[in-house]
Amino acid sequence: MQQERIRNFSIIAHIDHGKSTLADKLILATGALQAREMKDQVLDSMDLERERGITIKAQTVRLKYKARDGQGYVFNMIDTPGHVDFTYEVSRSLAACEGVLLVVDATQGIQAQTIANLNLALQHNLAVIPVINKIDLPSSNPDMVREQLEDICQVDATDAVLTSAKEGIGIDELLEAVVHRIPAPNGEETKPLKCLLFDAWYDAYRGVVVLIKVREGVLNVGTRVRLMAAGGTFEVEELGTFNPAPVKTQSLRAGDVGYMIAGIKQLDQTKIGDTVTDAERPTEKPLPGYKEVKPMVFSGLYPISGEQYELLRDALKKLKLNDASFTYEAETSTALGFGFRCGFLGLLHMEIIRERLEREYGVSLLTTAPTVVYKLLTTDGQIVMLDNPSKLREIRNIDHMEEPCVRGTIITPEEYLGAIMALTRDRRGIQTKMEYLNPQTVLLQYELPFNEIVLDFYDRLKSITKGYASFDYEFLEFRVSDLVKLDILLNAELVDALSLIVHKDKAYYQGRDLAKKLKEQIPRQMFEVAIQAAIGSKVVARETVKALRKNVLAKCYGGDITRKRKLLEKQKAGKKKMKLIGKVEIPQEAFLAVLRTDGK
Amino acid sequence: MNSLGLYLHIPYCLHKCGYCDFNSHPVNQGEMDAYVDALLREMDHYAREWSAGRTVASIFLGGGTPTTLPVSALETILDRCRNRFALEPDCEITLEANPATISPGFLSQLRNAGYHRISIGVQSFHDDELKLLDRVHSADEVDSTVAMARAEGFDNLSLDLMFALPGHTPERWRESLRRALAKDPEHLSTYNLTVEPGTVFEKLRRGGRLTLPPEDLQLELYQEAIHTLTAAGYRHYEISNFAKPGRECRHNLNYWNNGDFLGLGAGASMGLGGRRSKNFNLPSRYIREVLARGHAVESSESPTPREAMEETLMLGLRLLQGLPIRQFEDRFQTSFQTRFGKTAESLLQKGLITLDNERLALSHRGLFLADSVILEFFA
Repeated sequence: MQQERIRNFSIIAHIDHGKSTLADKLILATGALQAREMKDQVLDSMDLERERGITIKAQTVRLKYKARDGQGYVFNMIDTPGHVDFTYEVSRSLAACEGVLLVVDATQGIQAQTIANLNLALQHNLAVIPVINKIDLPSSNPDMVREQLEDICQVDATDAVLTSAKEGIGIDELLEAVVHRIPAPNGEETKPLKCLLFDAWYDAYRGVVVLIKVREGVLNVGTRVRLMAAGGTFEVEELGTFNPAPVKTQSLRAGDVGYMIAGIKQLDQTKIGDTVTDAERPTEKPLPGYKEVKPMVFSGLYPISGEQYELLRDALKKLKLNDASFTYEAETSTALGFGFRCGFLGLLHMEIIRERLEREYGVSLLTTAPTVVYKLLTTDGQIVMLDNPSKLREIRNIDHMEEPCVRGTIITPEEYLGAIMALTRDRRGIQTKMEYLNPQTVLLQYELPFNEIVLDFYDRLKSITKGYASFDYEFLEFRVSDLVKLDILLNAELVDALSLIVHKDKAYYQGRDLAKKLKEQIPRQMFEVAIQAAIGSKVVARETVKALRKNVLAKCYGGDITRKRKLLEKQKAGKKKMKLIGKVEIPQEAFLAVLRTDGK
Repeated sequence: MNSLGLYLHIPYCLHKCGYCDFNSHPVNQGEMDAYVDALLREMDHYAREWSAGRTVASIFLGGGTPTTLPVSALETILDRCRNRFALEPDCEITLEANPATISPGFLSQLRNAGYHRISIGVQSFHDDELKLLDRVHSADEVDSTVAMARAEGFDNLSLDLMFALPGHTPERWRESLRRALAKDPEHLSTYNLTVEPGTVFEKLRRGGRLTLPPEDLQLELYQEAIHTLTAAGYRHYEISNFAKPGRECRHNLNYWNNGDFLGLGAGASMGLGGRRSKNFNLPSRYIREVLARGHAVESSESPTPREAMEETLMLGLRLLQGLPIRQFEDRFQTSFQTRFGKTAESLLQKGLITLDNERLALSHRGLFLADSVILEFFA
């Protein structure tokens, strides 16, 4: 296919604005799949994605479209993950495009992710086709959305395409708009090979499969390619496109998007954003924008039962094959025994990995409260990155500590302004921007310490705004901060897995709150359990779980035996899910109680 | 393993009490004859398979209220038991009765029929407590019922009492215990009131109209019972049961030893030859099933060896003398030490059990935490 007949684009949208449904309709409309072959939302391939209704792993499909001008076109529709945790992956996917469909829900208008995604698209100088979706709904207001697009996003919305993906309205018009409003790629085939690697995954049969966009030159089966950032050299075994079923081809030319299989064994030999070039005739300069993705959030994962340690290790190893962006290394907790410290791109990413470990690998997990990475500067000029609060005491001569900060964007109906301001003040946020998008809608920007949002900020925001506010954030910088370690002791024994790093001004309150929450979570045992919260050697809060004194069934005769046994079996199953720390049995929820310190 | 306990359920009651979660149904004169027929027929059914080579060590008629049946029916039932099974010479034959439901003539006929042990549902000696419990009798009627039974020659009486009633105090409980002891019963059961799912009490509690005493008080009342009754010469032989020496309830001991028992009647359970089953609860359904199939089993299961061991521990630990370890090992062909040594060791360290070569038993402290202790032995 000649370049001028190719259109490479992504669909970007705030969560639930209808991106996946729209993608499905485009696939159907171009006849790539018959309706009966479609599972709902084809592009979301993993079960988890379908369940959560979000896209986790980017996918791409090649569609053939016969336009009204009678010409045949090839559309490469590149799906992007819909969550802030995966911003870098989104930006790399967008770098493979010449245009985007910016989908906005006609009932909700612009939301925080709409703006974040649009900014990414504009950074790549992409053509933007505004799509106002869900126009079938009675409460839809396309004019309001048009106005917002123009006022806030500086996007010309006069030619916005009105659609209802659900009802199939506006799909034909949208396909035409793609042809006419998104430019064709224009890389030169004669130049040395230069491809963008924008996604990769591990296939049990084929090894690593990478998705590439050929920017310049021609890639042929048999070419020896070099991955410039990762540094490996491989021979191309197979090239093809997803239509959406894989179809092999002999070559991919400038402008093409497709997959490459090249005998790559490990996923970490491929880096998202890397440049693929011809090993014999390499390009002079790699593509810009490549970044090493680093985990932002860390958490300890421990098997509830020590016997599952090996199982967990194998599961992590297998998961890592499929997801190079998370990290793990063995660690030992005095409270929890042997486990792993894992790094994630964000909270959602953490939840996904956790669920997959439990669901696909059958490991019963105990997860410690997620923590961000702190930067410690010692008096002798060393920098130590701290990903586990309990390791703080091993570090000597600390001069000062720095914590990561983010820029958070909130879009909210204005009636919740007061509540949001109170919340952000409590979370040590500094307001940097406040702008009325229209008389009812406000955009707020804050600089916030990441550790203040990593636990429950989003949930709190949703709850105080009845779900109306949207939120997005991006990493800003490390800043000096007055931080202390808050410890929890159970019967005078330090539970390292419950330690937290908190701001000094909030430590006292959080200690009290946490002790109280733990008291609610720890069931009565055959002895008294003292819960203490301490900063250094100073105890700031104490709660007591009184000893269980009486637990005896009054009657057990012939008719009660089976019922009673089953009851005990059930209780035992519940007990098994608890973690024994010293002599104290602690349910998994207690570790998550840390997550809900809402620090008012 | 040759002897067998025989339980027969009479589901009819004049009135359902607020705390009761037994399988009881209103007296239904039109159905009761058919019910007795079904009971006899079901007995025939099981006797064919289970009477050979077995003796019956105890018979227990419970309910409901067995004395809602005419005494002739109670006679017929016992006669049929004798007919179908080999009763041991000293077979214990118990009938549950409620105060104020029986006359001297009734008692005399029962005695002649061969019932020689009566378990009386007294519950309390305070009229206001009886009212709160929904009982239909008064404290005075307990006195007269016991006196009648004694006069008719019953020398093996058991009284049921309940504690931890809403508003219960140690003084009031001591008073009930004192009046019970004044009857010089051979056997006493003292039950901590528990609110069971599906009862009127549960509904009341959910609505905030019923409050049980706090745990510490419940414990104090329980300890009070143990103290008073053992001081009066009764042996505390099971969590809720006390007896004069030699008067322990044989029928119930068989349950706690996890022995075989045949349960007949609506909702009855049985544990026979490694299999547990349960009959349909509703009397009319029970009758229909027995007519059609000879029995009325609604569900049954065969516990695995592990489950059977757990049941044996769960039941055996209720007895204060504990579980005979040798017998346990013979029964399950396993080493107690290998299977449960670690658990026992840790419980021993916590002072919750006692353990010697002969027996595994709850310690004094373990008694109050029996369920927690038993749970430790579960896999």
